Amino acid sequence: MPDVYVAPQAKLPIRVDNLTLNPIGLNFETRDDTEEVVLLLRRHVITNIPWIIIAIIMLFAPLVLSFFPLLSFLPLRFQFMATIIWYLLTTAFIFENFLSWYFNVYLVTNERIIDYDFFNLLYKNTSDAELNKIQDINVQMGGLSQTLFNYGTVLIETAGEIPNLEFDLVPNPAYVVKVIRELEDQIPPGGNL
Amino acid sequence: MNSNDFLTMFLNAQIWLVVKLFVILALLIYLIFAIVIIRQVDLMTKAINFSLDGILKIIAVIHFVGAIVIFLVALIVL
Repeated sequence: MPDVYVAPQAKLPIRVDNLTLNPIGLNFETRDDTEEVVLLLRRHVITNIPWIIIAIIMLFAPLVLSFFPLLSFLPLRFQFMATIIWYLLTTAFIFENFLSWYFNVYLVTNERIIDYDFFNLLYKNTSDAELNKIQDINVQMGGLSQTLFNYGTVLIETAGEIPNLEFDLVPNPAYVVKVIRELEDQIPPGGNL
Repeated sequence: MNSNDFLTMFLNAQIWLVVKLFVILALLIYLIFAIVIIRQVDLMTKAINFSLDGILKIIAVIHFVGAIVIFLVALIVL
């Protein structure tokens, strides 16, 4: 594993086990002028496998129907439309799942940690906590898949009324904790960077 | 053709007309869903900017146009 977090000046994006250190061109709506994104995290790529398998089955399902003509009772024009509508739904299924994975991100900046959640279609939830408010960080890893592919959940407990943050199924959780801890250490006493 | 055959044929035609109406209605609802996806992608890309934002917006619009085309095809074909 490469050295964790060297310095805020290190601007080159580095890919470490499915997570991005110092991502370039990343901006978010609540960003301060002085704030730099250190770590960009998403759920591990492997967590997409279940919906990808379903999508592949959906893509090939009409071919199976050519061997088992379950829709043969329908007039030909309805069979044609059923196939087209099926592929439309498959496209939507794939696109929605990809969007859900792509935009549910966790950011670690040199000032705070941010959790972006997009649920269903139009519900958005953003939680953030300043680095100096972090009290405790726990890592939860369990099961064959998580052990094999080195991913898990990072639970970040914060002080006071600020809600606790949860980085779900992120790759290399131990490394994430190390980066956050190193950033915390760089904060001068009584304030942020 | 006796009156029974005629009635059966008439009812059969009516059933497919009802099915057609349901399909059209479902596709109309799907059109709304496609608009929601465009709005959703817009909302997401405003919140966080990634390099793929432009491509995702284009895919969302293509998906919406595809839904319109399929809606029109359903109106013509069914």
